Amino acid sequence: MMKPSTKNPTIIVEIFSWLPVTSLMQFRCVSRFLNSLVSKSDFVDIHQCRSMTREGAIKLLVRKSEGFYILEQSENGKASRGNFDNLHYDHVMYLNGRIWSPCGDDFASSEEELLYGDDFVSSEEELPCGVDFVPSKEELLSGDDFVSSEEELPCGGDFVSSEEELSCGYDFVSSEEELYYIHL
Amino acid sequence: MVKLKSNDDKEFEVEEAAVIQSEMIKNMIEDGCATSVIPLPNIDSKTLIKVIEYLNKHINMGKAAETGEEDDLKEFDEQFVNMGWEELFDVIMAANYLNIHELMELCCQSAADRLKNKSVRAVREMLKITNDLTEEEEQEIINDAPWAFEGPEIDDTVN
Repeated sequence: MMKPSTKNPTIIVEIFSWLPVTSLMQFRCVSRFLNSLVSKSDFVDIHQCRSMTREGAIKLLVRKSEGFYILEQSENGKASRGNFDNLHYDHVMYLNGRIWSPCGDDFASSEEELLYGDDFVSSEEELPCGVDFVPSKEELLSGDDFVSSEEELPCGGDFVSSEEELSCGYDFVSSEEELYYIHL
Repeated sequence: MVKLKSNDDKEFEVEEAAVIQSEMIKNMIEDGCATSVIPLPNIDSKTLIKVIEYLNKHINMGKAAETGEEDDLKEFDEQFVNMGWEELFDVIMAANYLNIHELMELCCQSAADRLKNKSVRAVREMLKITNDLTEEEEQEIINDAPWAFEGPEIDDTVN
């Protein structure tokens, strides 16, 4: 009876809002309509909500004035942000279903570090976003598996994996603009 | 009971409690427009049967949560979307028309899962979309996010 058709964009939009980020970026090539759809802020909002409600590892598409970002949550509830242009990851926090980018001094000074990954999917998320997670809290990263994931920190040299170093790591503040924090 | 009529003139009786999961029908009933048979000119009987099956199963969502039948419902949903692409699309169109939020979500998720590893060509075919981008524009999009086009095997089939 009814055949799939772009004449009903509502349905296409609805289906696309459930797609993972990688597929979305790929399917921009499908048509002009879909190319522009992915850039629309209301679509990005819907996609963000959807991604948060799905089980398993998720990625979010976040649109900022200067481009797209990926927010990714792994199955163990850790989250990070990815930048399309130079593939770096920031930690992220999610609060009450909204993404926050508070960027207070506390945040920046204690928890920020950038990770450079060659590959989005394989890069490990590092932020243990427990309920108790407080921005200014001391032990944010429990060393071991963090160190093993992505080593390249922009502030280079002195990076040590101990909690103390990280938590008061002013050195690590890499002057990144907006951070997204995810609270899970 | 509420009577629904498909576009191939078949009538179905559905409990009111089940059918009001459709916002559209709920509004009709509230406005007193559903006195006899509700004609559904956009939905064929095959699709309507599927939709009614879903409505009946989901009739008491709240109760299911209390009695631990949630898993049962989840299993039903998984089985429910196990249908052909065209069929699934028909159910999506019907869910959209009838405004059945949960069903729409379920089927669109399933559709997205089927599309996600497809090639661009396959997606166009499955959604009956004509490519209106020039080759240059297409290349520009690829250059914009090259990582999205590398990656694992891309499925070029259309089902």
